[in-house]
Amino acid sequence: MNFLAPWFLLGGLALGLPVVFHLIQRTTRDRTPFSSLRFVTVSPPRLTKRSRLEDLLLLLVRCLALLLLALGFARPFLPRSELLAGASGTQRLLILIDSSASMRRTGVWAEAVRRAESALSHTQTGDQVALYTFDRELKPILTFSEWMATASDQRLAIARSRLATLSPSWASTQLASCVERAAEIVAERDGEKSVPLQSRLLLISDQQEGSHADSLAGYEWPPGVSFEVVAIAAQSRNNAGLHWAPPAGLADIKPSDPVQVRVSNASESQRDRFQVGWSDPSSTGFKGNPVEVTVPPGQTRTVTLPVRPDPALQSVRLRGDDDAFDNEVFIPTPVSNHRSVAYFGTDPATDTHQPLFFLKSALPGTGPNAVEVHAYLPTSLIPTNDWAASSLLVVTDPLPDSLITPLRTRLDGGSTVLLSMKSVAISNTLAQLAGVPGVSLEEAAPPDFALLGEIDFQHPVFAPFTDPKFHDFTRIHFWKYRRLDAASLPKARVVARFDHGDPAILQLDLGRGRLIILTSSWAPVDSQWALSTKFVPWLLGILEPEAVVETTAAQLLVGDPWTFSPNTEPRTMRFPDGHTVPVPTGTTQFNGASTPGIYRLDGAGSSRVWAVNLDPSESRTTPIDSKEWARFGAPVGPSSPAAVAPPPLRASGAETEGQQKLWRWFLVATLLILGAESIVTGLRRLRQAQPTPSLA
Amino acid sequence: MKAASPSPSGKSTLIDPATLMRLGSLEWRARIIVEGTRNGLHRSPYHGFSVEFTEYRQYTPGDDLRHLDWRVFARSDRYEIKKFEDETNLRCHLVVDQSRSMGYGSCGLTKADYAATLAATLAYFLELRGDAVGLLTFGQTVQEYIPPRHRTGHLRQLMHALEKTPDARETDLLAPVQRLLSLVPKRGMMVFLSDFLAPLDGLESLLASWVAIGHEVIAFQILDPRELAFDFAQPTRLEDLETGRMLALDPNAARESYLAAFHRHNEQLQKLCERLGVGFRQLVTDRPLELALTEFIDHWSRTGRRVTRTSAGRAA
Repeated sequence: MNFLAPWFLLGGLALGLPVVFHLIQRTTRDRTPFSSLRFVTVSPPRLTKRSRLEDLLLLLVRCLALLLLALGFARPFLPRSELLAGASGTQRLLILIDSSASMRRTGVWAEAVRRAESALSHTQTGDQVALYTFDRELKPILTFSEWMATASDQRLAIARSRLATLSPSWASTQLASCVERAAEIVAERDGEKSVPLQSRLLLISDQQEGSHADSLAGYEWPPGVSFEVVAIAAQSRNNAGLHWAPPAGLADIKPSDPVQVRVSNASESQRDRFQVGWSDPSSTGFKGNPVEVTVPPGQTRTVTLPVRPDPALQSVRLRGDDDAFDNEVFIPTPVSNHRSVAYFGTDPATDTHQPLFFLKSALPGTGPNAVEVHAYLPTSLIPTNDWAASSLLVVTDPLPDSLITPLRTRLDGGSTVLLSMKSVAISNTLAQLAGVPGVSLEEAAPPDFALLGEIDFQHPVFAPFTDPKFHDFTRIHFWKYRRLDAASLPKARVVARFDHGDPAILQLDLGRGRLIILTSSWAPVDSQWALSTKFVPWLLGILEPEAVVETTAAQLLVGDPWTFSPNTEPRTMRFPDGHTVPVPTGTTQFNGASTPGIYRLDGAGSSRVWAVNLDPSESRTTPIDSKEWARFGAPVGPSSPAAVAPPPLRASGAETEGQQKLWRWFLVATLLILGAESIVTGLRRLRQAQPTPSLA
Repeated sequence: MKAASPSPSGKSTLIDPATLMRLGSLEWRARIIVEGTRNGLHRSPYHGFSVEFTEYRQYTPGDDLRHLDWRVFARSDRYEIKKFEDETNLRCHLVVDQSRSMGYGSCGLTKADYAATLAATLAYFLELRGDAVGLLTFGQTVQEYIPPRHRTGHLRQLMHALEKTPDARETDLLAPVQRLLSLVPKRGMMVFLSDFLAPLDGLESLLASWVAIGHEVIAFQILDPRELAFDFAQPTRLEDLETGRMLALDPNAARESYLAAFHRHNEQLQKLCERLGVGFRQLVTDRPLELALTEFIDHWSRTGRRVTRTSAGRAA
């Protein structure tokens, strides 16, 4: 047992006081006033053996009370070494290293690693140590359980080897949430609640302004966790950041438009003149003339760059500061997804009652996703090369045999053919394309109209209408349609039926391609389909079934996920460094943007690009004041610069004593003994106060 | 003994002194005690110089010229002294001991309380009778002297003097007697209230001087029951209230010698009073004060104004 204030043990010398009091009390027990001692002769009282024994008991009780009081004031505590019963460890230490992009500044990361190694070297055998890094999320490098599961003589080696493999990321800093999570981890006890280890959270960070530490102010720290900060100072403070102010969506980016970027200068920077321009991929210089910009420290300026001299250029560079990690920003060039649709039919494009007119009207003719419709008369003289590259083949009239074979070849190669039945005369063409002997078709004329009654919304054709609020097809009337006996196409899947039960839309997979059959047509004479708002999404769903991308922002930040519709076709993601990764089918989210750059998703017949840039907050590299931690309510440890070392013994003893509070028990014992002493004394006095008959 | 004497009906009509002392006002205590024993005022057979004219007598040198009747001198050319009926025929001095030994009490009241209440009772009683009552308090020396008078407010002045706490370190019984010898040439009554726990040497000759002047002297010795019994149960340390001396003693061993010495002293005092014709009454503070008043009245009525002269030289 140790004592925090051992000089109070000198109070034990007061044990002599009860002895003195007892000795005095033997002769001066009661003082009784009397009128006159003139007639009293001296006759000193004689002590009896019985009274001596009783006094001895009281003496012992009072001595014990004084002794306990002195021990309590000395603030005793049991050192952890005794509690651990042989284990020499005294702490549960979580080393949390900031690995955000701002740690890429010159010398910062090396210093952070050195501090972490120093902290590791000060640990003892029985300590529990964990190593975590964080940027926008907490990443375990070496957990407590791993540490404890490792042989004690190999723990430090493993921790150092993993530490050596670390490097700062490009992500932003979410310090508050990560520190909160780390504090909860270090406060966990893993079933070792009986061992009162000191819980320490050691943060090694550059403490930049943009680390989002403010929300730490409302955090209620777990009890018993001490928080120590090792501030890593950058070698240079002249940092400026470059950021892109993108338009709302990728579709709004036009290569011919000037690009606006923002230049922010750190408040502690000593420079204010910078150069911004399109970066030359082959060097570290500019392509074309850079723009000179003056940004006072702590301020931000927006710079309008000239039109990119080369459409292939996709990054802008800043020059003039000391730290280069935030000096490049990526601005994508929109990928042109021009596609063509081949229309085989006899109707002129100017006839407003025929399908071709509505097809041309529905598909966009300009923009990055422009679709060009080429109409061909179904004759045998059409050169195959003219329509071979078409993304979609639309057939509304019977085709000559000379066209059936190339169409079938395209189908097998993966193309999509939309066959719309203007009349039952197309049955032969359908049979030939489907590869069946014959297809039974007959003209159906419902009394009033027919409706789409049974729709498979899971089919990609109807995928845009998956939301129930788009389920209403009752306003689309079909005046006429061709009744198709589904049995004649046994491999066809009915996607939609009319309310009479007849198939309305079918899909027949042929080779790698697919044949989509509409048993009516969108011409007004047959239906209101082309006049409805659902016609265009339906057409695009057929034209581009795999490329319905839901994340349309032109710029993402490092670590941001983006989502897209599940794909059935194989797609690949091309990373900024050029390597490609196949995107598994069914993938709806991509989280792998760990570095800034241009990411490109290539699908069947379409591509999509995103610019992933650094979070602008990472450029706010001015360190926050160390006093801010106290303002946030963090239980900051004794000294941040020397926090790599364990706290001195006195602080540890004080904390241990504060946790154990053994003095309370000594005080309670003292009070109990004093209470017992008072009761015993009171009883004895009562007994003495009773008259003794023998005195008479 | 806390019980008072029972009345003929079997009920106690006397008040326990400890209960009486709870009344804060000394005057109220005296009123209550005197309530049942007052006999009414009597007219004085003596003459003095007051309001009621009685007779003339011839002037003799030495008479106070203020009492000459100048009208008779003018009319008859004779010097005549005008005499009036004197309302007061008794000048009583209450001599009260206020030494610290009187501050002792073991039964809820001290001897000083008892003496003060008794003195107040006597003063009130005599005041009702039209007598003049004076007061002298003493300890080591004479502390306060109020000449006997019979007028409004005088009784309250007496009460105020009696309510003072005894603080004299020692008792000197001779000092008040000597002082009154020089102050009171006219005979009257001297009521001595003390525990007389002091040396009696020289007291007899001075008391004899009182008696020789014609004073009627009554000595009330006021004692505490424990002083008479010395019934301490446990070994204790006794502190002398007057001198502050401490003495540790075993009461069982010391009781016998104490009682012998105490009774010897009281006996000596009593014999001294008998020799001088001084009325002596021993009062214990647990006795009702009505009995003390009754004894005072009995003693007075029995002795009347008889003056017993005894030679001071025969005093012990």
